[in-house]
Amino acid sequence: MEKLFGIEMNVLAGILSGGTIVVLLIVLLLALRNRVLLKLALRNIPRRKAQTVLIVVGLMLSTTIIMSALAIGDSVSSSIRTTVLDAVGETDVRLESPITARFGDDYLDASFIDRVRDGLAGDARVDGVMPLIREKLPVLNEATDKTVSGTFVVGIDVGSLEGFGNLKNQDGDVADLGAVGAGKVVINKSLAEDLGAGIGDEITLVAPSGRTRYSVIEIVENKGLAGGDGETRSSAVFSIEALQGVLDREGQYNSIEVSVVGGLRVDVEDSEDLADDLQIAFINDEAAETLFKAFKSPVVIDALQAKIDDGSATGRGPFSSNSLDELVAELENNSMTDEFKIAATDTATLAIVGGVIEEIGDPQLAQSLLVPMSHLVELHVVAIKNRGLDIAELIGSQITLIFSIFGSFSIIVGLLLIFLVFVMLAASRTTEMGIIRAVGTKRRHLVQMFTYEGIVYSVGAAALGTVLGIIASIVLVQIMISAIGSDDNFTFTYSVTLQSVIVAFSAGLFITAITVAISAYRVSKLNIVVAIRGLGQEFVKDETPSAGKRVKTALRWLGGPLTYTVDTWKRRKTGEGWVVRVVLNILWLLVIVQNLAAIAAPDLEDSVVAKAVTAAIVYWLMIFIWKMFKLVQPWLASGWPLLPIGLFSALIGFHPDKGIAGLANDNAALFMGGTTLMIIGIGLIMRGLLERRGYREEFQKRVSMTFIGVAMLIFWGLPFDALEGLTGTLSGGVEMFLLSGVSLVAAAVWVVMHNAEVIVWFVSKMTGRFGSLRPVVKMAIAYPMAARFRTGLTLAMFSLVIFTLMIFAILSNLGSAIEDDPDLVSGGFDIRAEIDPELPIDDVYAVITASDGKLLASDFKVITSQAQLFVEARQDGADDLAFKGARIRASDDAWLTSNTFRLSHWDPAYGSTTDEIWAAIVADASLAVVNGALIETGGFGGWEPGQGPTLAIIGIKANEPGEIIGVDITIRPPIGQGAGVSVNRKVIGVLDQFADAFEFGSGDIYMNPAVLEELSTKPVPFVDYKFRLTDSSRTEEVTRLLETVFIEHGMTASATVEDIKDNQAQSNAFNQLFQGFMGLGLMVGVAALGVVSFRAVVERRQTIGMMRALGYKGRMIQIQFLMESGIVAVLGSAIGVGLGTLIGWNIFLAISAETDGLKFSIPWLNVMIIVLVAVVFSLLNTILPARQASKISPTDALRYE
Amino acid sequence: MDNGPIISASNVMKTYRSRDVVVNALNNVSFEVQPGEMVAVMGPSGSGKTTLLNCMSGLDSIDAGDVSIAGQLLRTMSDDALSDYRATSMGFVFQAYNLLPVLSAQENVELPLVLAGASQKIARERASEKLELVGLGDRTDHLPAELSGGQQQRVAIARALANDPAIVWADEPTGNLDSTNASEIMELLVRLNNEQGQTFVLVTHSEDVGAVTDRIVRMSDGVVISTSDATHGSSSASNVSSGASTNI
Repeated sequence: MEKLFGIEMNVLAGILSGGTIVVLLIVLLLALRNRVLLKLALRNIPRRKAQTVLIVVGLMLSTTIIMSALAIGDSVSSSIRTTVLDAVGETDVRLESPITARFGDDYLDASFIDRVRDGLAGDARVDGVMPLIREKLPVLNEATDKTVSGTFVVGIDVGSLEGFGNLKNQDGDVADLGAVGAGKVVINKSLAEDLGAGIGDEITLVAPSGRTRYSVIEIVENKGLAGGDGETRSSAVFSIEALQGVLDREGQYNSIEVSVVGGLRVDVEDSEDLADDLQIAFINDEAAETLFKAFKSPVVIDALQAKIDDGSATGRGPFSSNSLDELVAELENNSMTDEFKIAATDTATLAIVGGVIEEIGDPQLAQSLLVPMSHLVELHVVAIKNRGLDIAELIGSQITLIFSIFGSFSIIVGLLLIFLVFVMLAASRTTEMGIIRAVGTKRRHLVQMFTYEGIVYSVGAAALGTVLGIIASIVLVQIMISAIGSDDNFTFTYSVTLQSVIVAFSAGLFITAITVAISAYRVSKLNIVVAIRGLGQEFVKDETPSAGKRVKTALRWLGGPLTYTVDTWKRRKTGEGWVVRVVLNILWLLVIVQNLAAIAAPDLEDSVVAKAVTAAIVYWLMIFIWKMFKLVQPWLASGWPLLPIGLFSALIGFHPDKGIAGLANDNAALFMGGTTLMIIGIGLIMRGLLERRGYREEFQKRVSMTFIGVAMLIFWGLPFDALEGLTGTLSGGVEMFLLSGVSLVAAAVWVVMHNAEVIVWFVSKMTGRFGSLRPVVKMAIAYPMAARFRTGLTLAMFSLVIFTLMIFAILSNLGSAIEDDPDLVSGGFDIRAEIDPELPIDDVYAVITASDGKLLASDFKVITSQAQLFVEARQDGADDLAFKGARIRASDDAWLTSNTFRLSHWDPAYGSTTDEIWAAIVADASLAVVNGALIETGGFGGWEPGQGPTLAIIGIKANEPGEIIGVDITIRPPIGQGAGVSVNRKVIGVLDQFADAFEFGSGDIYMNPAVLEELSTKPVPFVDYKFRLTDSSRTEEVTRLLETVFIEHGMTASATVEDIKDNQAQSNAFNQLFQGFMGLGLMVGVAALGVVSFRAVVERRQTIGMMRALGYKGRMIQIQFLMESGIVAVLGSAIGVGLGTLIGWNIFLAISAETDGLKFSIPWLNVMIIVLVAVVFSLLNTILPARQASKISPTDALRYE
Repeated sequence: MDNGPIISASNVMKTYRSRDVVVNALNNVSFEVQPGEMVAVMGPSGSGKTTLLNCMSGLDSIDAGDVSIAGQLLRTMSDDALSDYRATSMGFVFQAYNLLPVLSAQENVELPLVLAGASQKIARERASEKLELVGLGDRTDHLPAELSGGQQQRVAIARALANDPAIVWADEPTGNLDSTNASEIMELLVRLNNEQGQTFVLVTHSEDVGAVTDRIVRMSDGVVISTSDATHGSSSASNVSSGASTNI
């Protein structure tokens, strides 16, 4: 992977490891200044080995999760990378005709290759140029009667092999590709296996001109020229002359490929530069000049700039490179630049410019530009290897992102665990720490001591966590491989990069160290007397300075960094903490400088000074805001300041349509966060009132905290759109998922912990019948309830983990509607097939009749065919007039009348049933149906319409299914192709989300075939065939027979039911991988319970002894410990399952508002397994400490005072 | 059983080994206590007092010899049986009180009752009764941390008495208390001994404490060196025979 969260991995690794080193150096510096503290800290480490191990284990889990998320991303991206590199081989840049085969002739004549060769003569970057033919054609082995319908056939120019021919044969030697020629072919491993062909065997190529035979002279690896493409691996390499012969293309080829020096290695910049140079060489300067002049009107530039600024015109999608901003920037120049030419070659950009020119009211100009636009590019140049790697990179980082999002819950839990570990470590040392304080050390010395010790643990934990993360990811990837490994087109392999390891280690160390420092700070606030007497008090409140003092501090800090510097200067005399302050001061400056560098780096021309000032002000403000917070903090507890703060924040969150103009900024997180603050504020005010009325403290707390918890549960548990009427539709991203999960769990734990008595009562009632258990239950409840902070934290961790697992279990169960009704996806067709467009079928039934009885016409109920045409389209009368990508699915009457897909929207003017709508399409060529991806989604999980590179229809909303008013659209061939005319259609229906999912293209428009002749000057072949069988139990057999009977047309067929199963299996495999990953989080929760139990044994030695003296049996002590963990595990599971179901249901509501046919069901088996695993592992983890506890001898325990 | 000793130890040996040092904590100790008697075991630190108490009460195992309580040999009893026996028939009071910090005074006293299988209602009644008995009827809902040392020790005594045990073992019951509190506690113990007729075995190094008991057993270096009728101040070997003394 090269990027994560949009940041280069190299940079990320650099920043993180640099930061880590700086932190470690500071700590080291401090430690050396006061070695006694260091000594004290370090001697604590080997004192209790078991405890040290436990701490390191507790601290490492966050790192483990980060590491495995990164390694999984690495594996995915490296696997795709390998696949891409295998397929592209030595080719770095590919040149092709801008015309596509559907609309015209995509073959090139000899003049182009000569021009490319001349242009590149003497270019040191290039080590090979080759004209090629690439086609898909059927190949068969008559001896074995095996066929591969869509074999990737390549015709190579044996005279141009230099720089390309480095393919190994089965013996590991370099194969002699030059030996291909008349009657001789080299095939790859996949094809050899599929055909059952060996060296010397004859294979048959089926081409439009008939069959020809070739003898196999070599079998090579699936790479490079014999690497196939992303879909098809089976490949055969012929001489270009041989293919020209059978395809009737004397002297022609359809691709020119250029290899950059370095073989399979990628030189990204050289390839990109080379591609640009070549592109400029194949641009029609006259056409470019015309466009430049036309675009360079101030009106056009302003309109384009406006498009860029409001973001509505960006056609940038993951797979398209939009160059509008570059184009506009180049228009600043007085004469045309090469950069302008490059920017103008992007068809999506040209389409946007065309749209803009029309929008500003000059349709004539727009029309007149079509001719220069269509002549602009002679050859289309693509840095193909770079593009492939970009896609690999994109998918890899997306996967990491998904894993990181879900993993962040586990990471949070892991951090809570670190906190818990340190609080308990401190608890075990309170007496010691009290004494250390009593002899005169300062509070910060305690912080330092703990931090030193913690850093040592953190380094160990980060290292161990990284190693374990790698191991965990290996296991997970193996699970994934074993689930999908059968596909030979894509090899999934494990891989991890050094950067990922550095990032995981540093990030892990960094967050661990920070958490350790925060814990140390909390811990240091102990009351000396309380500590020495060993009275358990996990936290002591801060002393609050008087209001006047706080105001003074706040005012002083108006000076921001200056105040700090002055302060530091003043302190130089006393020397107290001076060095630390100076270091911090310098660090501060460094941070500012570094930020400046980062801000300035992307564009050095901008004023560095301006940015420096901005950065300084930001830091200044941050300090001031912090001090202001400290000023009001003591009053916060009374609740009332939270009301205005919360209200303000919530109002900022409103959608501008509903909220106060100028303030409302459409932010879900702010709205939810602000409202939460208000709830907390009201709760605290309630507490104050109760206090004034003289109620007992416990009662005040219970009432107010329960109110806060319950109110938060209700608020965060509302369906996502429940408050839309009030706030408008708010936008929120991933952070909302995290925020809602954490808030809900916190609220639930809050309520439970403040109403523990209810649980005590309930458990006592439950176990009351078992008399002998009562004393055990009593103690098993008393301890967790006495240490509420610890118990609450553990409970929260456990609940959070189960919560995420639960949501995932529910979501992965939603898709099952397809299993119940496969017709939703398949349209009721048993088999779907594709043929070679070069080998069209005139009459399907004629071929079947001529099949010597292999197939009979009576085997089929329905046979349908469809043609595809990639076009550009736009919605008439929309704000955005740019044409965008779309795909026409011209369907014959049989398809239109016999498919069983469902419509989610329809225009009642044309019919009120699905059949009537389709009948209207058959009868009227001006009507169309689009698929569900083209309409507006409610913003949940989808992108806003108009943002993508494909056609989007505004005004039809996915979450408002039912009747619509037809929408007019205009369709035209891509610029410079086809008949050069545009056609109009009215969209009268929308397919539901499942429909045609196998052939899903994001811009599909279904209509009757009349469109083909209107748009294309040459006949468009029908390539997609669907079969509905008389006897669907014969599906498998007929699928095979179809491929044989239609071999002359290169048909590949597959059973839709099988496809559904395969799909299901693949998503199951992914789910498994994911659940395994989430299971790591479960490990954290389980570890937490283990840590708590181990700690409890040590802490309670004496009381255990006393209990034994009182007559508790060893077994009873053991049961008590198990019960303590069990209660937390069961309670945590209950909270997690409950809240997970609630949010799962909310997510389901949001999705099903746009997609029908989804069913909500709780996967009970899955849930039971999750809960069972969680509880059982927690108990297993407690068994050891519990046994230890039960073995404590009463006299030993009581002897220690 | 009516007339026999309730506690009887004969030739008890107990040895602690730490690293290379072997400490004979109890060296051939024999010792009897009659029902209803209040006995103080005294001696300097390290003389084996606490070990003797632990071994006789069955909290700790012995290396040789025999201890029987109410005629039953401890070494024939399993750990579970011993636990049950402790729960129903013994009470313990320690120097450090050793109340369970997470339970209120009331709950601490209820615990042995609950352990012995009493219903919640009865446990509550009896516990209140015992707290009343030790003079803490108004502190029942307080946690140990909220009580003074003397009060905590009273709770511990109430807890020890909860089941009306036959024997109450007390290890330095006044060790952590000032003299006023200490004498109050001792008065309480003596009163309980007189009123309830339970057997008390006290370990102490305080002569004041010893003075109020029926009999003082003195120990040194793991052997019983003398036994005296505390109330009368005269020495007798009537109820005690020490291996060490016979060897001299």
